[in-house]
Parts: sequence; structure tokens; C-alpha cells
Amino acid sequence: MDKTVQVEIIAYAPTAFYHCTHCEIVWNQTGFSRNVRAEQLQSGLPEDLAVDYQAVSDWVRRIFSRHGQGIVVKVIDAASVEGFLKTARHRLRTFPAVIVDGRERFSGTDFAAADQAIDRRLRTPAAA
Amino acid sequence: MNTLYIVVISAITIYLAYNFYAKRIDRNVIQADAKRATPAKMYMDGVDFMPTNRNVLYGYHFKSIAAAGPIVGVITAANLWGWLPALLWLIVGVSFIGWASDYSAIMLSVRNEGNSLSAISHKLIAPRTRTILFVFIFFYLLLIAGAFVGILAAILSARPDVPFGILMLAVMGLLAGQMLYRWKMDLILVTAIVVVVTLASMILGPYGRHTDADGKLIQGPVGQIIVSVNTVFNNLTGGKPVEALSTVDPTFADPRIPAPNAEGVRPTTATFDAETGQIKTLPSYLFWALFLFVFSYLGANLPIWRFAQPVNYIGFWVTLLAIGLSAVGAVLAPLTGAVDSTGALIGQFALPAVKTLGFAAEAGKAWQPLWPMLFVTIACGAISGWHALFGSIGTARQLEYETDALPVGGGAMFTENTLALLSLVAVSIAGAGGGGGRFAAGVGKLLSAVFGTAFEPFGTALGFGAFVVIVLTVTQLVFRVMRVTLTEWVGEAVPVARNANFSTIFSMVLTLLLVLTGTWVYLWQMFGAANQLMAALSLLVVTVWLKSQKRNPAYALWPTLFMYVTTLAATAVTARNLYVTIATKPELGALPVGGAWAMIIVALLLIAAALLIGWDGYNAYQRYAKGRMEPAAGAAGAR
Repeated sequence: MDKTVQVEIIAYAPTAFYHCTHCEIVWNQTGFSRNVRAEQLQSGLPEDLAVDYQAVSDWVRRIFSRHGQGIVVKVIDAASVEGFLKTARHRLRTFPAVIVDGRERFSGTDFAAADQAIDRRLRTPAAA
Repeated sequence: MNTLYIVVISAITIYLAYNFYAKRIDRNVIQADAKRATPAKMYMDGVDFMPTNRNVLYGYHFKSIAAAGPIVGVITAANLWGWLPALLWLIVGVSFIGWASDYSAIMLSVRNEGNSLSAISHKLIAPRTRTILFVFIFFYLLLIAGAFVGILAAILSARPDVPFGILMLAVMGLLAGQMLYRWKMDLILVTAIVVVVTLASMILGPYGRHTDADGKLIQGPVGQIIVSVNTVFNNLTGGKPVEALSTVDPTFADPRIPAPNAEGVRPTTATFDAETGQIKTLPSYLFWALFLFVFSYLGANLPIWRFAQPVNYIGFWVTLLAIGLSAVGAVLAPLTGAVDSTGALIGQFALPAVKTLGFAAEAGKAWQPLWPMLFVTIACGAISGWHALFGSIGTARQLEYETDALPVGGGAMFTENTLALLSLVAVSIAGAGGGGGRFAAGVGKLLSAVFGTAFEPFGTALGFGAFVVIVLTVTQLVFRVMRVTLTEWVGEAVPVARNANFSTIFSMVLTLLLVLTGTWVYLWQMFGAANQLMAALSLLVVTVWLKSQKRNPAYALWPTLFMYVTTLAATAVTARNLYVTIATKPELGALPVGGAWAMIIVALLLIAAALLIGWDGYNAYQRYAKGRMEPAAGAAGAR
């Protein structure tokens, strides 16, 4: 069985508000939702946190291209109920925070330590 | 009927519909295949396209449970027809239409490379339809805003125990935005502070309230401050209503209209003249409407992180606690035989099962026949989506496996249905009261089944708080969307519309004019019709797509036809009601009559738009039925 490593990233994420699914379909087709969503995402975070989130996105793209199906990534908005519960459970203080396989925790936008943890866990043979 | 039966019935229904109908469609018609690569895998970029565990995706949807639709619609319908028709429509609607709409929408996008549905709907939605839809959407947003501001202003002006909690929500929202995103304070600490302060402020509303020896209601310290504020504004006109703003609501759903007394007669109050049926607009009502506009202005114009997101974050916790604990109360009440402050059993329904089917129309009176009006009054909860709220990317681009679409899309719809059923329980056990008041009273009773009878007034205040929070968090975003839309729509021709302040205030002025007409239920029903028309259109896109794929479209086609015909009929009935109950009665005053005519025109525009859209959709379906795949005439220019 192939080994997969779970990577959870808790960060302040830009928020966009969506309407009913069926309305979204229609709005999307009229081009109506494009500017609405763009405006929301543009003002979703202060500049410094937007830079942090961009760093998260870039890192996620990098680890996907490196490990492909070997990792399962979840990005969780810190300011959400799930983010709150993860923060409490893992006693996180600063964001972005990375949790590898539910055990190892890393904070900040220097993801080198998290990269090493992922590499190490991928090298560890999977349990039968 | 008691609350436990509703819990059992809904659990069985959801189980049967999900396992024996939804899964069958998923397997036999859509043929979801776990081995087929989803767009999330094909175009994985870690940003937009990212395979995500289905439990996480479901959580994305569920965390935005704070939607107003499943609560407001159910309250209104239960008041009009009784709890049984509402229950049946919720169960049948979600089982055969609701889940199908949301699930299909996701699958359609997944099968179209996670992109927009342009390959399909470009052919369906021709340039003419696109323009019509754009205008249609603006009126649709206007109707939501009008209906919501109307009911909230009436609650805030009539209930001195409610506004303090909402005021503190705004303060805590601003504070949370600053503490989290600017000062980067500890998330747990900030959450604890803002949620506890907001909850405490809501619960403090009725603190110290009592009746004196003469039976007069005396407010506690917090309520007294609000009463004083109301008095200050009402003294501007010597305590008299603003005559020019007197209005009527033939449906008697406006919260300013008192409930009938033991003899079945509505008494005359400061805001209602029983003899003429007129609703009197006091300056305090206008003040609270203005307060709502200021709140919404902040949500519409400040950066999302500054106000809208923190308010939603706090609002979600408030809603979760109020609704979650009410659900516990609904289960406990019949088992423990809990009683309310009057000694009545909490678990028993006080609302009649069927008040009326409403098919008999009376000349000059509002007509509310069960069909079609029930089916637009309850939109969300039976067929509609949910206000999904998440970090930047759409579900269709994140599905790890095609087989996740049903538990994520369909499952979230069933969850919203559960919220609607719980609202129905709360409204049905409350008995007296109207609109949000009945819902809040029900929540108060359910919470007292958990915390004891003495908690009932505080539970009711929390119920009001949760209701206002749910509606208000949506309202502020509606204004944000209207602002951007107006800028895009007329910004070229009218440069001043590009100014965010102008477009927000202009949208608010239009909304205020609608609110002042007083016809809250008519506004809600027109919004419901507009919403359901979009549901029909979305299902139509699915139907056409299924036809183009040579699959059996029946599971989407029949709901499409039902929703389309029902929507048209409901809009026509609403226009008729406005005409016979207000527009042709000049003695009611210029404001309600003018407002009624404006809404009749909106209704006729909606009908015309629906007919044109339906015609285009029919032609698209026919093209596929005949095996012709070329786009609609002129569609090329629409890209």
C-alpha cells in the first residue's frame, strides 16, 4: 500500500461568500459573480496576511509537484470553527501553521522544516 | 404531534431518500466513477484545483449553516398554512428536488473540467437571456434586502431586549477583525472574548424585566436604555406616528401588527390601528432601519477582513450554540415532560397542523393558495443551496473523487433541510406570536427544556439574537453584492455609480422604499419566486446536459417543470394580491399604493423574464433532443 502523508495548513484565508448552488450556476454564466467574487477576495485579507497566504499557495503548489499523490493537503481558514478547534487541539499560536500527519507542528512561512518532515514520513515504510 | 416525532420522521426520510433515491441516481444516471480523474487531480495547482478530502469539503459547506432562508421561509409558511404542509414540502422537496439540484450542479461542473458550464449553458443562455438575467438578479437582490431589513427593523423597534446584543455584535465584529488580522492576537483568546461578550449581551437583554403590581411590563436596565432611545426618537413627533409613512400589510405578517387576543381580535397599539388595519410608522422604526443600514454599510464597504468576515465568524458561533442546544431541547422535551413558564408541555405543538389550504379566493382579500405559494415561501431547506462560505475555491474544483459529490453536495442539502425542520419545530411549539417572534419563543422554550424554566426569557432573547444575526449577516453581504453589481451594470453610462459609497447608498434608498411599503410577506414571496426560478433554470441546464449526454434526464426534468410552472403561478398570484388588496385602494395612502404598483411592475418583469428564459431553455432542449449540437443563434457573441 502506498504511503500518503496528511498535511494540514491552518492559515488566515481570504473569504468569499457564496450563494445557493443553483444561483451560483446562473450567476456564473451571466458573468455576474466574477467581479463580485474578485472584489471579496481582493479585500479578504490585510496586505501582510495576503502575502503569507500567497506563500502558503506557492508552497502547496511546490509540494504537490514534488510528491503528487503521496500527500493529502487540507487548507483550513484559521477564523472558522474548524480552524478554532485545530488551533486549540494543537495549541497553535501563530499562522500559517503546518501539521504533518496530525503530529508534527510548524509555524511561519519558512516551510523548510515542514518539507523535511514530509520527506521523512514519506520515506518511512507504510504500515501493512 | 411532538418534537421527537419530527426528529424521527426527518431522520428516516433523510436516510431513505439518500440511500434509495439519491444513490441510485448517482450510480445509474450520472454514473459517478471513483476512477475517473476529477478536475482537482487533472489541473491540480494547489490553489484553485486541489483534491480535498470529502469530510473537509462537507465541512466547508456546513460551516456556513447560518443562512436565513431555511428559517424565515418556514416561519412564514407555518404561520400561513400550519405546520403539516410545511413539513410535507420540506420532506418531499429535499428528497426529490433539493439534493438533486445541488448535487447535479457540482457533477455538471466536474464533468466540464471544473470550469464554468459554458459549453452547455452558452448554448442555453443566449445573449438575450444573459441581459435579462442580469436585470433579474438585481431585482432579486433588492427583494431579499427589502424583506430582510423590513422584518429586522420591526423586531428591533418592537423588542427592547434585542438591539443591545446586535449593537455589541457590530462592536465585537470590528474588534475581532482588528485583534485577529491586525494585532495578530491569540485566536482562542479573541474568540472567547468576542463570542462570550456577544452572547452575554444578547442574554442580558431581558435581565431584570418583570411585571409590576398593575400587570405593566417593566424593562430591566438594558431594556430600559433601549426604551429610552426609542422614546427620544418618538418624541421628535410628539410620540405620534409619521402619517405619511402609514402603510398596510394584508397578510398581517408584519411584526408591528399585534397577535390576535383570546377573542381573536387584534388590538390597537402604538404601531397598529385595528379599525383601519393601518401600520403606523414611528420614528423609532426609522431609527432602527437606519441602524441596520449603517451595519450593512460597514459590511458592504469595509474590507471583508475588517467587518463582514469577523461578524460572520461570531455569528456562526452564536447560531451554532442556539440551534445546537435547541436541537438537544427538541429531543429532551418530550422525554422529560419539560414544561414552559405557563405550565404547558414544551414538546407539544401549539400550532395547528393545517390552518387552511387557502384555495378559496375572496374578492378584495389576499389569496394564499397552498399551491403555488407554499413552494416559493419555503425555498431554502426544501430546494435551494446554502450560503457556502470558504477560502477562495469552488467545490467542483476540489473533489478528490467523483463519488464524493453526493455526500458533499447532496449531504449538505440534507443538512440544511435539518435546520429548516428544527425551525419548524421551534415555530410550531411557540403558539402565539408572529414572524421572528414565534421562532425566538420556540427557541426559548427548547432551551428551557435544557437549562430549566427560569432560562426561558433569556433563551427567547438568544433566539431573537440568533434570528437577527442570521438574517443580518446575509443582508450586509447582499448590499455588498448589489454595490458591485450596480457599479458593473451602469458604471459605464453613469460614472458616479462607480463610487462605492454612492452605489451602496443608492441600493439602500431603493431598499428603504420597498421596506416602507410594509408588505413584508409579498416581498418575501416574490424573492422566493425569483430564487426558485433560478433553481428551475439551474435544473434546466442539468436537464439539457443530461440530454446532450444521452442520459435519462427525468430526475431533473420533472422538478424543472414543477418549479418553473409553480414559480410563474406564484408570481402572478402575488401580483394579483398586490393589485386587489392595496393598489386599487387609494384610501390606504400614497406610499403603500405606490409601492404596490412598483412591486406589480417588478412581478410582471419577473414573469416576462421567466417566459423568455423558459423559451430559450425549451429551444436548447429541443436542439439536443433532435441531436443538433450547434450553439443558440447569436450565442457566439456572448462569450
